[in-house]
Amino acid sequence: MSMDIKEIQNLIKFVSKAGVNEVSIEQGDFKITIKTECGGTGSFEPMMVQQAPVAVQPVMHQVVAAQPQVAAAPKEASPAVSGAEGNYITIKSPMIGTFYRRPSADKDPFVNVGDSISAGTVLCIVEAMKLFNEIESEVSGRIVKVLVDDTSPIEYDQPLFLVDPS
Amino acid sequence: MYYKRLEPYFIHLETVDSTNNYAANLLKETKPVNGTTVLTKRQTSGRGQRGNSWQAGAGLNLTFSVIVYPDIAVKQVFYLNMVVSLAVAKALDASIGGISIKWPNDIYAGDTKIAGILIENQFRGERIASAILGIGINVNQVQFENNLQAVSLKSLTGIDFSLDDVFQNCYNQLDFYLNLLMEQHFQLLSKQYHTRLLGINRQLKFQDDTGDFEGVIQGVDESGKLKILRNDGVRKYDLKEVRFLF
Repeated sequence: MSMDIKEIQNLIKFVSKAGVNEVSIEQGDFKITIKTECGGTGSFEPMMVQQAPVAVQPVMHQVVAAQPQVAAAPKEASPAVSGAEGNYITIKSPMIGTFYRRPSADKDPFVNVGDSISAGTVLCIVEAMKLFNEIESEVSGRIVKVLVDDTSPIEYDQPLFLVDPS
Repeated sequence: MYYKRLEPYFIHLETVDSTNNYAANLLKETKPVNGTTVLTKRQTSGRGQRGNSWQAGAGLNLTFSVIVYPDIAVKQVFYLNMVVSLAVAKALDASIGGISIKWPNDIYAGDTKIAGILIENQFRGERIASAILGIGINVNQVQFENNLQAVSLKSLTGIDFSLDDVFQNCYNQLDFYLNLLMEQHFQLLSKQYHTRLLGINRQLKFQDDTGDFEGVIQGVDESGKLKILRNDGVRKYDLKEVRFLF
């Protein structure tokens, strides 16, 4: 069981209209939690979490950071709440390790700000215990920001890239 | 020879920059079968651990990279180190004694390195879609540049070895241990890895950011961190956080 982005957007609309702060839905291996910050209006920060199933379907690790467009009509004179990063997708590290932007020290970075990427584009390498792990994108879009310096130590789930999917 | 997991498709190259690079390009441009192996007589810029180059005399040593599709979870990635280390160690058992694994994946004969491993994985979401298992074994080389601390099968025994035989042994063992991983025999792999682990259960000297200390290697945890029992309890170390002084 999985949901496409339309279904998720519909769900977010539904939650915003319902005026609740948090909704979790779990169906089989799929789990989604939608949290709103302002009691149903304003900005939303849906968090997608999928438990890793055994050989079922690829887990969607790249968390949808925010979907402010679907907010219910804000009150009068309410300022823009989403901020510059509102529509961007955050790509996070799947593991603890060392972050490398380049295939080797004398090569160009895998991706730079402004580059178009698609599903399967290699973004970086995370080295852990002498294992060199290429991280591929699961989304299409454009790199807006690289959030970590080359060769820095990184934690599990640490944001690495901001991607504009539009 | 019947293989449980690997399809023996071998690509022999006279010379190549690095078999891992060649394998990576194969993965990008074609659909190599599980078990496709790139072998070369001469590697011009073979890589060890990032930045370290692996020295291989032309035609003297075994250098190859195996492409596999392990489909394991990210948190199980360290088992690939176990699988490849065990396969190489077991293959070398056929020629020489005293083979152990220096954490995390160097192969030692006695107290000197005889083989190196470089594994590159391609993640897709939270699973490992493909992996390139790069293996370099010192076979018939007897002189090493720059007083490099290294030995070969020949330097230890005085005998010339057939590269084909050593490779075939390795490939067979790789199939065996990969099959254990695919059948999810995690505990068995871990147990065998620990049996081979250099320095395990012995009082030895180490160095970390606080200075030199004595301790006992207890093993590795699931993420591959080294557990050392010290006076102040058990500490877990990442690769760059501890040095062996033995």
